[in-house]
Amino acid sequence: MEVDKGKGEAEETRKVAEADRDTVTLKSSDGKLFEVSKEAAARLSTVLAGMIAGGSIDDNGTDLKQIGSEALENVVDYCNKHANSIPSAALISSSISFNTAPFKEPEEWERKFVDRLSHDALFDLVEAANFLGMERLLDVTCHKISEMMKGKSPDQIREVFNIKNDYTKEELEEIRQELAWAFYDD
Amino acid sequence: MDSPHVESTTSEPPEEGSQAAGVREEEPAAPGVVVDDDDLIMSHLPIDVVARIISFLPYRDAARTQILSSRWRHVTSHPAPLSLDHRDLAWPRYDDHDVAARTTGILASRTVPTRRFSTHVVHLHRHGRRLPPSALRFSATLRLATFAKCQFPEGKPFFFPELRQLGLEDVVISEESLHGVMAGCPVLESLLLTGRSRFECIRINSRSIVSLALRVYTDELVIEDAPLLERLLQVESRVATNLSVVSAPKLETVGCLCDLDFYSKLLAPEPTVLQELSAVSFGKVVRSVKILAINIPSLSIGVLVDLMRCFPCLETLYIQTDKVTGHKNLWQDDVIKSLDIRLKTVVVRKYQGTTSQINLATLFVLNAKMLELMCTKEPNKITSSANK
Repeated sequence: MEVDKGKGEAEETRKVAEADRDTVTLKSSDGKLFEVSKEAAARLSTVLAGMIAGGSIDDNGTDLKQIGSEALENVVDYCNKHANSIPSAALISSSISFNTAPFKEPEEWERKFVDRLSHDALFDLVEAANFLGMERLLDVTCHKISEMMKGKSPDQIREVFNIKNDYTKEELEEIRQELAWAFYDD
Repeated sequence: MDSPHVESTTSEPPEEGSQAAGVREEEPAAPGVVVDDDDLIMSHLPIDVVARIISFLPYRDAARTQILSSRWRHVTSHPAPLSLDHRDLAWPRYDDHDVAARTTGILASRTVPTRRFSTHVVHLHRHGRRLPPSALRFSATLRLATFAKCQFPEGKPFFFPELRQLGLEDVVISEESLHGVMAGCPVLESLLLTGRSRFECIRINSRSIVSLALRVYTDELVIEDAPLLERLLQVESRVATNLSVVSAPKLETVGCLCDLDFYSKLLAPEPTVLQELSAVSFGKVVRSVKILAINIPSLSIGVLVDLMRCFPCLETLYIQTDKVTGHKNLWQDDVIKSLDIRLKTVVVRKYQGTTSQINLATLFVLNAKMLELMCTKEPNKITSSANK
């Protein structure tokens, strides 16, 4: 079966006959259907892996009520891209690197993947990745958000993420003193 | 803004373009209108996801998020790992003493769970090079740690349940403590150990270790039980002359085996009585090893034969030697001819075209039936010739 690269199809037009397919169909909260490689889904998502193993995958579209169609499209897109990407030297390297954390830097295509997302789409994708237990996608999206925060003043971050400062003047002063080392030298 | 004096300290210009490129601007709230549904984006995210975002920030940036709003303060005190690197803690206007005080302040502050922690020990304790106990307080969450240029505490329990990578660089540590450290890291995958401590015998017992890199003096190195060990690297020629492997079924790469005592033996009163390198004593033939590097100034044909027998599935051999002793025409040696050498690549390092080295190269070209590449590396250039 051809893998649907993210275009939702109307439910009524879908007829699934094969019993033993190599894709799974996922249904977004707004009823759109997406197909994704079973192998990639099981490898990248602990939740989907569990559902596949447990036989709770619905051939007519497994309900994912918590995930909107745009986010699910991105999830499926990510899975398909991941399935097609050749692991970089960095990921398969056997060299020892003692100065990097266990987190592997995003691949070039992963960067591009998250860079093109709108603000809302990025955060929706974080939630979807978290819900589906997609550790790598969660890391890549959270890493992207952290890059958007890096080197910015609290005011700038509040503006970008629409965060309301709910501290009293006294509380702010207390935190400022406690964290004097972090605010000293900008 | 309630506290302009706080914010005035963080006056970096906004990064135009770099983050705006792929991000659609949020609909700006009308000026003067209070948005009640504040924290719109972040409030949807579970706290451990926000903590994960923070964990990718440098420690200073991460700590500063506490001032954003009360929810962020809550997140930062959530036990998620943070990153701390002394290079992020640039206080050019402070002297060491101030830096020490401030670093101690960070260690004592509430934001203790740490993903990454790096600081010069001088910052921790100005008048001593002992690793202070506070440096070990992150042990519950730390995944990677490097301790450098300090004296490791003796007799202290060392338990890092999450630690994957550990570097002990130029540390002073006793044999007992080293073994205690390894025992206290149940999921340790990589260990780098360098320093001037002299060990009698380093014993490796680890169910999780994959990579082991050493640059220390030790009379003996025993891999007793390391079911996952793939790479045993001995950086520079300072390492054990006696290596024994009891159990390391996945060991693929071994290097560099060196004759540490060779030069000191040369200075001995009777330099002609050079003892042979008793480099490797393996409990059994090791079929898993595919890559081997050796640096033995005076290589006897007996040692070479032992190595070939010990590692029958070797595919790549890096070899550095000044002199090979044995049969005048090595390749005609009956024992050599009887060996089943399956090497595909041989690299002769520091090749200067001496008779011994030519002898050695000829030996492999004539006897290694599967040889694909013979590579000779001169000190500053590489020349190679394909055999098949």
